[in-house]
Amino acid sequence: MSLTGNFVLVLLALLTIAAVAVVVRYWSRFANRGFKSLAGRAGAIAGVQLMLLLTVCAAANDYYGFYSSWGQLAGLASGDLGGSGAAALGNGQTSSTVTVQSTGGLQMPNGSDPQKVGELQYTTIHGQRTGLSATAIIYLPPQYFQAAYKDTDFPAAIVSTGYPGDVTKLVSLLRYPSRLATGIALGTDKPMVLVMMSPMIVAPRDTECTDVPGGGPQAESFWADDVPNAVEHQYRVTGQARGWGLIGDSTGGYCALKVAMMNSDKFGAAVSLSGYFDALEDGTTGDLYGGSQSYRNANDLMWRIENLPSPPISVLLTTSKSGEDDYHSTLDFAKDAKAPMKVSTLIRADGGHNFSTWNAEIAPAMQWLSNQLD
Amino acid sequence: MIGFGINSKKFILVLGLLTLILFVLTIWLWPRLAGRTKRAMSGRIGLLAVCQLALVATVLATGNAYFGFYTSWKDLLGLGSQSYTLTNKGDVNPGQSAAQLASVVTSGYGAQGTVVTAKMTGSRSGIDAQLSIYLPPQYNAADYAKRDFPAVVVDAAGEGDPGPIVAKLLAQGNPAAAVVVVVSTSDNSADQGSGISCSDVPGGMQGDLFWGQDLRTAINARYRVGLGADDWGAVADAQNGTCPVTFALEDADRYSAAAVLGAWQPPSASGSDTDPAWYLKTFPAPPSRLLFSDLGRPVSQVLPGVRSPLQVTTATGMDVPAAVTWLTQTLEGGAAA
Repeated sequence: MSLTGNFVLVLLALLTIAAVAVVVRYWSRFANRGFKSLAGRAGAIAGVQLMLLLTVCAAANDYYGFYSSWGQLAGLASGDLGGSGAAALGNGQTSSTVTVQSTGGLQMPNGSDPQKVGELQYTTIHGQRTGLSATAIIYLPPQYFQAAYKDTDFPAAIVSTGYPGDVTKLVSLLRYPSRLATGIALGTDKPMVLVMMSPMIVAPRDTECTDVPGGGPQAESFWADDVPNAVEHQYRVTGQARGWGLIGDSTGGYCALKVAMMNSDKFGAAVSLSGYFDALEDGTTGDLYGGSQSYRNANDLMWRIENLPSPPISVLLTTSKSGEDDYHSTLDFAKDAKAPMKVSTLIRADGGHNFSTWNAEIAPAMQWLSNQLD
Repeated sequence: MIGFGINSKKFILVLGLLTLILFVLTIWLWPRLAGRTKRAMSGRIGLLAVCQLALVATVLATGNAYFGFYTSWKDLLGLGSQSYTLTNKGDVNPGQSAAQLASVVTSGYGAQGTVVTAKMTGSRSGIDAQLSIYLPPQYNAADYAKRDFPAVVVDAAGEGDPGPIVAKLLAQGNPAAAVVVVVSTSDNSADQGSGISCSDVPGGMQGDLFWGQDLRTAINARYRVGLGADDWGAVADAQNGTCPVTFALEDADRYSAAAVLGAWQPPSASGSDTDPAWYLKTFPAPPSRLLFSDLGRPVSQVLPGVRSPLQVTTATGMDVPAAVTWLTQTLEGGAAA
């Protein structure tokens, strides 16, 4: 029984209705005086409310795609955030690989022919260096299937959800592939391959795309080394830094900016939609920095921009004057960045830390990103 | 609505109180709605529904305030301004990789090869170094004009003076077709023996940015050398041997082969993230190749846990040019044995 999907939702909704019906039907049993009767009433109300709350939570999770499996929820509840994650020790794998589970067309007004709208591939990426594996949805643009481009190595971008996040929402809710396809058709965006992922690699732990010291998950190396290697190995994708970018919202934005800043020989551009700059540590992250303040600083992007040379990358940072709390830090970051870094900012008058904001920003952000890469 | 912001404490408190009041009210009115009339029936359903609505609203408002999704009513209702401004500042100079090298002096030695000296300032690490770049005679030959060469980095930091190494490279009879980059710290004798750190030291020297990114991009921008890990190898004497081993193990995406000449001692900080043996024990073995010459001990004593696809070769009596030849053959897919 999958956590997401209609089955659980319909079941919960039916149970809620049933609970209401039962309470209304047997109402008179608790209508007497006495403590027992009072407790029964309170229990009945609480029970119905619990059912409704569960239904609302499941519906919200379905829509926004925070958690995609019962295991992730169980891990959070038990405080087991996922161990080192580097399980595939000594497997002798010589390079990172992409395993394609299924492919599907993108449903667009002009049909689903790959030559017209591109193709989605539902895959697992197995990292050679880190031993980590992750689900990725890879979008190949229409040009990838056109004869005129058969010898072209395409630029590529890692596209990320926030934390927690379900990768399928990048297609269905934030609509990165269809927005890119539309932009390409209009001539505003250039063709590129999208590698859509969640930063929740060792679910449900929030690794903040960090190489966790002491044998913890090497989440930064997975994104920086394993993912590009695997994708370059299997697809007609460039190996040049100026052809690789990253884009994501919230935690995904922090990750995009961090991975590009730390690996500017492999990535040329990054977009951080409502990303933050500080190195988080909380209940869902656990100890990410091995207790070292210096290593935490190295993962603090504001510290990096203030204390290290600015790397040779182009970045786009988005925020709002009203609704986001990273407005001032975004301006500070842009001010402290020095040559040879390019810093672009997209600043909205209004807009909170939510999907309507990102939905409004993704089209211009993808246009910016695809034109940085070649 | 002033004071009743969507994420204000006041708003959530009011919702919470309302929920509580409705809860108590329902319990209190319960007996009066116990009849069988239509009115009683709809009263029950109505009260239950209002109770639940209040609770759901409270929970949603609390969650929203905690995670900071919507911070204003305007935003929730989609009434906020959709306008934005996109500002660009600066531009990445396409020549910035090459610009890491300055004071470039090229001296030709005919059939022996070419030596380039340059001062390097790593654009990411900020680390300064002195480079002596040896280009083999093939580099300028017409047959090789369109060919990329592998690169071998020689960490001569401990010696300070790259001169003897370069002289040996020039003097060898049958030079390997590789670009050899001899790295020393800039003519500052105080740096001797300290060298450039093998990895990024938090709060200190960003050695990994230097060796992994700055140096490779600088050479790639100026010479016909690719940026793949299979294009890059490194060699050092026993004293500086930890760096090449670290590159080939922990930065296997940038260096795929390494050689250490002499009785290398692994770092004393065993069991930490900077210990190659610990790294190998903890993470998958990379597809790299290592050469130890005159190690004086079995490899399993200094680097336990070697396994496929990592390959280790031992030798005796190798000097830098011989190690460069071995690395070049290895990088070109030749026999590593």
